[in-house]
Amino acid sequence: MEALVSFFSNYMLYILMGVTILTAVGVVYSKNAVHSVVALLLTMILVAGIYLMLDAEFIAAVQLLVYAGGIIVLFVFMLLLVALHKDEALRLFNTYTLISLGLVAFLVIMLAVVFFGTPFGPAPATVTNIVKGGSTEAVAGTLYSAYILPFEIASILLLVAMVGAIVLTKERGKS
Amino acid sequence: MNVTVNMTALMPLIILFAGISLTALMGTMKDSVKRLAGLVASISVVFAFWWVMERILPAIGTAAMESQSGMLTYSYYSVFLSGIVLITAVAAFALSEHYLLEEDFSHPEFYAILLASITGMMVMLNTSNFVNIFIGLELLSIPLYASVAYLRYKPESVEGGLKYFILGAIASGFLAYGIAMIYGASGSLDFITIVKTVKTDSLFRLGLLFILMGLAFKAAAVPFHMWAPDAYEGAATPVTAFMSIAPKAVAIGVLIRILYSVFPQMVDYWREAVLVLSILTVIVGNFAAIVQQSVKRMLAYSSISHAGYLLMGIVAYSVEGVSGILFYLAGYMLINTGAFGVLSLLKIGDDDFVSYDDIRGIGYRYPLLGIFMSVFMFSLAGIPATVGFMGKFYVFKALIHANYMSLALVGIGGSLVSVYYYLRVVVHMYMKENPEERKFNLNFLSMTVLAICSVLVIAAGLFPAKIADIANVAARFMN
Repeated sequence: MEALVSFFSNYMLYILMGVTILTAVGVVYSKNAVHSVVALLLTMILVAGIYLMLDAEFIAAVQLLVYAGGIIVLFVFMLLLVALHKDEALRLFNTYTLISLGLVAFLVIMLAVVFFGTPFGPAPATVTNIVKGGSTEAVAGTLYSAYILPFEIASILLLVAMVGAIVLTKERGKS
Repeated sequence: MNVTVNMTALMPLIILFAGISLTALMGTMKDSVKRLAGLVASISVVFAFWWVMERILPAIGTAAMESQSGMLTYSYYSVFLSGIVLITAVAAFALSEHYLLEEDFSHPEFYAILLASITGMMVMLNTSNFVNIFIGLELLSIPLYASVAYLRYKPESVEGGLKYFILGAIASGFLAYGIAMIYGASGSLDFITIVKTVKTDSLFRLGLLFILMGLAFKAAAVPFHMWAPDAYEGAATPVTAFMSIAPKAVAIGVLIRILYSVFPQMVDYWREAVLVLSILTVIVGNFAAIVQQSVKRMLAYSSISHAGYLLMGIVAYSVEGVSGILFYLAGYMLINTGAFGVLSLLKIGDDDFVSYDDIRGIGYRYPLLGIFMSVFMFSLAGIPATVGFMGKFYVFKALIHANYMSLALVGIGGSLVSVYYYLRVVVHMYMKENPEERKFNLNFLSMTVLAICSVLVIAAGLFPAKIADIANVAARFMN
């Protein structure tokens, strides 16, 4: 029993990450669009799990609410509206398979070289300090005091994004 | 944690936001009110400009004016660039008025989204915190995507907007990634704290590289320029005028501030990267501009090459270089507003007549327009006695003083190449016959803007000392 606990506490994060990658691959490879969305939903929930394992419970909650709750619903709505059928002949593979495989391999190798060649220093103390007393409280405290200005500007951004969307639907000749 | 809010520093943003809300609300009102949207937008920009110049500028000394521990920071440098952005905005509003009426597609929300973009630029310029840099960049870009795609019934406009959106989103991702790495390495987002950190960690280099890429995207530097020609061509011409000046000034200005005052210890590292970027940008921009058939698209590529000259100024790494860049930007604002302003008048109904073939004989049929366009073209080419020459002169002089003789030569070579395609416009206007007679409506407001720009281009070219002095002060007090 003790061995099981220690196994999970040490490796749960990696198991979660592995399953996340699997579901993410499922998003791309399933032929049925609804299956893709369900796989995406699983991916989002698993990512929230990763955040939880990393002691970032606030981001985990936001991830569940915004992505799993909101964005996936939008995806489902869109699917129902455009009525993608699974028997439709979708061309899932383009003709550049070899080239893109080569490029991806090159990218992975380059990233690996940079990653393993970089001597990462220890994390600065300030980063770990923030997490004391629960991340939700810490995030709230920082967000509404030191970062209140960017917070307000983000609200302008959201408003303007809506105005921009409205502008793009304006009718011609009826100004 | 206590936060001291300085209302004087916050006021320009509040004024601009009031403008956004008002113009957005006007979209729901009756037509007679809607027509005033451009006026309201211009007034809010002018008011913000007045506030910055009258209330904030006197309060700045050798130390910057701060609010909320550096979230808002006004220095001479950032006020100079804010001034450029706000003046460009008013000019663009004045030009849009006629353009949108001719297009018969004028909505108050158009001004609201442009005002939002201006607010984003103000946030991005007047700060010493990376969070505001990022969120300002988003507020700058997202409304711009919408304003490029504003003429949504035109395929080019939608294409430009979509390209700009997708590539711009990737660029924002790069910037956010870079900022995250800098945060990981230093534990802070505040410029002043980051300067003090010893930068031995490799994360700093990686983060700086990503930030450089993100901002180079916005400045349309090669190889991150792919979106620029399509977006510039697809957008309504006054929007193009605005886009070719303001975001570029902001991207270059913020880049200088980050490189010079946050990462001065890594100068040897970023200098090489900027050097390569600037050479590529000048060469590709100039040579691609030669083969264009449309004047608007040619000006898009030319604005890429001008970003290259500006990047060259960054390589100099001296106060002289920065003041050269600031002077260049001030002059470039006048010239580009004018050049795109002339193009915005060549419009009948839905159609823009902006290809080389279309502008044949314009110089005879519309003498005033011909003179204006010639002034702007000579100035872009860097012919002496115009502000374009003085700008290039200052930048190249700073390069030579910093022992970058060969880089200055590349720049001079680039501007020699550019003479060909700029003068081609003048040749087409004066030395070719146009078989088709077109009746363009020369709007008074737009013509006034053009007249002011062309007079100032000549005046600042003959007597550059005053602007150069201001630019010099601005360059000296960056923090």
